[in-house]
Amino acid sequence: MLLYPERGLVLNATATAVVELCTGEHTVAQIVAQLAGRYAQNEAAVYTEVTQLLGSLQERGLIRFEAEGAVVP
Amino acid sequence: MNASFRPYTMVAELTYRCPLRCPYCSNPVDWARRRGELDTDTWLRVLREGEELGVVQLNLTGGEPLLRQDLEVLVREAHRLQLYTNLITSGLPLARERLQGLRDAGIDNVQVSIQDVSAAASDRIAGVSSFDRKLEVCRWVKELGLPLTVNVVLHRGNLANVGELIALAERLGADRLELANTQYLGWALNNRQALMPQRQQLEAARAVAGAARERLLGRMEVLYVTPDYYADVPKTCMDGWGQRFIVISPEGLMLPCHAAHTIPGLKFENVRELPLAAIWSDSTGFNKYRGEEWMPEPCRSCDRRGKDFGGCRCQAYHLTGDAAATDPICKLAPSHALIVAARAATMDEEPAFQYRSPLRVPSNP
Repeated sequence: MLLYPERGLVLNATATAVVELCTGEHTVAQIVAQLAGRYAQNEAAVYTEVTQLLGSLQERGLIRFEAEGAVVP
Repeated sequence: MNASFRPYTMVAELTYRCPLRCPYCSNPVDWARRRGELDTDTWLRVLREGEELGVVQLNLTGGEPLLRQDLEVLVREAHRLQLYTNLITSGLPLARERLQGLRDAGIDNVQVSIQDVSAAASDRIAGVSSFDRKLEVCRWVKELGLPLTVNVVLHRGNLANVGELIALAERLGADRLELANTQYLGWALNNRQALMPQRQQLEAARAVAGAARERLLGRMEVLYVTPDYYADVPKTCMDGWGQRFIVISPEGLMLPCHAAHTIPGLKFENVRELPLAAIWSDSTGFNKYRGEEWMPEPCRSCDRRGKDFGGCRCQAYHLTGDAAATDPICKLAPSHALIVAARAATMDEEPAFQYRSPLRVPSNP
């Protein structure tokens, strides 16, 4: 569960795998590459799913994209 | 008890004491007579038992939680238990060093209340000079790398300033702005005529807040809480009585909401005497309005009964005298005329505030 003021977001297994990589040390491209490798999936499909999820988390203010490209919790 | 009832959030009201005197304070109007705050060890046990029951969110509030000298100890334990810990504060009395200490102890978010956009207007509501200090505290929060929520209670005196309030929160670098219309219970019910806006004021403010919410998406979350007096259906109070929330009052009563103990005839247990798990499952006060069995018509056969759970029990009691009545907010409630009359009364001239204060002791005749 991702907790923020007065609420929590229950993440499914896939979303959890993405968020666990949002440590500030990885770019979106690196996250996509890791997950595509781990689950033996097509990178383009993974990219679509990952960016959709990160976009909705960013709108909620739960992550942000750094200038250097890293994703920060 | 239904096994799906699980407390996710604990609201820890550490004290009813507060340097502010806001006329819409949600503490009971007889707060000064409720004596004997829990000691540190009891609060530590309450946090541990809450976590075991399923609590993941902790709101440290009051009164003013900073008045507790053991706040750091409680925060450290909450952090150890991996609770998401939100400090809900007026910002007074606080030094930057203490805030830094609280950050190091593991506070996750700081929510600072601001009453209006200028010192004169804000201090008039707070009943004490505090505005400039609050802005300074907001700046410290951001400088120390903590997430900041700015909270403003809205009423007829500041609704026109919502645009400026949003701009102020942006300048402060707030991550979240909570624009919460007054809930008319406790002190706010006593001051209802002085606080209640007219519909056109609310609609103008809602439009401004809605546009800002879109514009600031991803930078600052803008929340606008509609006042239930201008809604047709009741709010889902506390996500349902005794379903998701635990409130612990300063003297140790475990409650389904912060005002439940103002309803006479309900029995609530004290955490000094019983474990939280026993209270959660067996308390007659908690079980009284859980589920749907207690509901009268029109709730009992209503399609919304699983959504709003009949609305707010405290509001039902304080407006009709019957805590089991349908919330008068609902347009189907037999007592809805009370709300219509209260809205109509806002046309009158604005009376003076009754500030939050200790109850006056009657002088000798």
